[in-house]
Amino acid sequence: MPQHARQQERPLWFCLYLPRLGLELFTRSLVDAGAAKPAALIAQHRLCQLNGAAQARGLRPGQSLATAQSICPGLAVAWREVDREAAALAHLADWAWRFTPRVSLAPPDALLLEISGSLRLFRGLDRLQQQILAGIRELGYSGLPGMAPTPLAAVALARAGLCPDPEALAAELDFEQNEHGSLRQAWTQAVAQAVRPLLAHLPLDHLDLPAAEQQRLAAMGLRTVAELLRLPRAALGRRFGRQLLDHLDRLTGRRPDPREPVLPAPAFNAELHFLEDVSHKNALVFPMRRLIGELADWLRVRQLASSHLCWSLRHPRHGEHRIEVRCAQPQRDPIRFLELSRLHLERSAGLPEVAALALQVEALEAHGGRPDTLFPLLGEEDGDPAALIDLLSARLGREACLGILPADDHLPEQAWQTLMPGAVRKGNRITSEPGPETGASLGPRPLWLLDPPQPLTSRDGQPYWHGALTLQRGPERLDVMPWRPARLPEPCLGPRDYWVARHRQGGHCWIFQNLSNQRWFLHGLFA
Amino acid sequence: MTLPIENLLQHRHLWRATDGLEAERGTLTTGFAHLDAVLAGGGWPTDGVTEIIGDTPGVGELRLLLPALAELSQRRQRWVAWVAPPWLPYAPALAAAGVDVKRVLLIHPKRHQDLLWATEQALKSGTCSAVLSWPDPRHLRHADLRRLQLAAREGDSWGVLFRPEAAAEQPSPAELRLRLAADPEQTDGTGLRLRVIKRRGGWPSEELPIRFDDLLTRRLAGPEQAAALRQLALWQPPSSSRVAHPRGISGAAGKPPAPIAAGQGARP
Repeated sequence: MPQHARQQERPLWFCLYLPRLGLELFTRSLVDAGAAKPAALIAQHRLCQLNGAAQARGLRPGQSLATAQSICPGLAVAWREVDREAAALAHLADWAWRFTPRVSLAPPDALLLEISGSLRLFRGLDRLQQQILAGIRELGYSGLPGMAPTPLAAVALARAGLCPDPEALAAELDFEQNEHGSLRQAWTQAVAQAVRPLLAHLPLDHLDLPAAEQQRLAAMGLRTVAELLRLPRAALGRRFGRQLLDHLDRLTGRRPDPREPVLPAPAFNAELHFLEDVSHKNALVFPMRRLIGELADWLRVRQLASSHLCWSLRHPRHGEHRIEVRCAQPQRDPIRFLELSRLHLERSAGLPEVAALALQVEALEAHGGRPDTLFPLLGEEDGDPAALIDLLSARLGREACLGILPADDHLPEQAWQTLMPGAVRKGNRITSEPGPETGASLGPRPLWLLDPPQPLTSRDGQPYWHGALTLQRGPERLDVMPWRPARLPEPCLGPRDYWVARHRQGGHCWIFQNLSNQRWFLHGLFA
Repeated sequence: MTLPIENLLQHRHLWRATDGLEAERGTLTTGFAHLDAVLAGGGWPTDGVTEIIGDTPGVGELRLLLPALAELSQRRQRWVAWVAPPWLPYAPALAAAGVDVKRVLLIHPKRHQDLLWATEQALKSGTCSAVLSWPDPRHLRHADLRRLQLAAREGDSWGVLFRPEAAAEQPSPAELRLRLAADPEQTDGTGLRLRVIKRRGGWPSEELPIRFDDLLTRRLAGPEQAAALRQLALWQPPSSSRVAHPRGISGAAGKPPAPIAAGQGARP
């Protein structure tokens, strides 16, 4: 039986409920998720979500902002924005995609993961649940689990804080596959064994029903799902209409409840919001580390690497400030990303206040996947040469690091080229093999070259540089052709006679006399 | 009956500076046999800082390092970094001396703090076999030198600092300190005089004459010989001028190093 069909046959839905999603959007940018600082989310001037510290100070949801601030003067508040929460939920769905390809949204604050196909990979329900919960905690959110054979039941159980014990559930699920009977039936029965008692005691207000219907049900004295299901179906249908029956059928699995899976995002795009505006660069390092950690994780599960990070520092009044981080080679090492980003951050001047930090990565490449060596000590012990280039150019600027190559040209100024370090450039003019200039066929060449040549003073035809120069060897004549590039300063044009000369202190230099104007130039030092 | 000093020497808590130096640390032959002979471990300390002290530009300070740089650039997939060189390292001359110029990395920091930072990063990154640095003598503090020495140890990298004559009198944590001066007897650029100010496991040395055997000196030998060399060179394919003789690391003090750019030891 194909895997897909099997999942259809015996679904198991895991609901990840994020009760404080709106608030944690802000607190997760703080070290330790801001556990010590009372914080609250405000909707319509009333508290709607509180963190632990705020609850400990005696604040309760529903209090007005003025009351809350008089009880707890240091309360940090954030205003609720539904769009922002929806974006965060979508980003989390992208994250959850590592556990199963069948992730769907249960707005406004829950994710649904169909995990029956992932149980074997993650070695059991218990471990999978632990991994999901640990992962969401690492991201700075608090999540509550719920599991059931139908998505609606999973969501309702999670919202009510009633999660079936994964070990008990796993024991029920561990039945022999019966090829003759209906697998779906067996599965549903097994799950029902574990889930039904919980579902039965589920208070009705955790069902996603319209408020008017909730009130009518409560007025009839119905409290739990079990009481509702005990009523005759036809009568219930007549009173409340098709919709309630439909909802109950989807809850209990009598009707299929297909969910549209979320597709993985093609690019990484994450955002962090701050409770209070950040104006100090150091305060951005922790949020940067958090986003880079997410990015590295995201790249890892997709076997991707990137060489271009784009930070955007946003503020409603000051607009957007962008910092672009480029690496010499695509990579996914969070430590290097952070180091480079820090250096770029330190370089960028005039940083305004920041209310939100976003990281976008679009230029993605397949990760080379260099395998870990079995015996690392025996293999190549050197680091990645490109890492140093990235580091240096992040602080000093890209133009501060150069490689050099000899070029085929008899004119000393033209006999070398700079290029990006480590780059391989092939052309007819530039080769890494020594050309005629580097061979033994020409005269001695200095290790230091002055570019451009430095004009020397001369008295009676005698050149001076730190005292009189003694000509020792020469001349070697090199001619500058009239069609030479205009890079050369005017006095250097013309045929030249090169000499090795000794200066007063005992060193040797390479000088030439321009035969067209008889002027002397210092062109190199034999160091 | 044994002498008290021998009893003392056998005591396991007594350590002598000459013990076990060569076994632990990496060294690389300088290419000058009699210089190797005075250096601890028989060569440049490839995981420490070497200071080259002297005021005369063009005295031969680079040619002294070239055999080792050529060897390092050919043998290891690591950079040979030049931090804030005073002039441009001339690629054809480097290539002719056997240096693999693809490994050469030029770093031009704008401020002195950046220079020190770049030198330290390059040393400790573990991606540079050698880091040549020209710090500004006015701003170099003892603590900076110490940091660089530690970075060189950490990154297993050979740091070379070029410092002025005035620095010779100041204490330094560098592994090896050499003072270079022009040789007044050899005015044709064929050599220099070198004095070891500080080395591991030894006292400062006498002045050593260093003699180079390279294109400059060969050309200076005489016009007839030069003409003959030119004739010879015309018949050689250009690539044959490049040297790629791998040499062993330490312990090769007595071995004559490989040709062209390397010195062949001093004249007694």
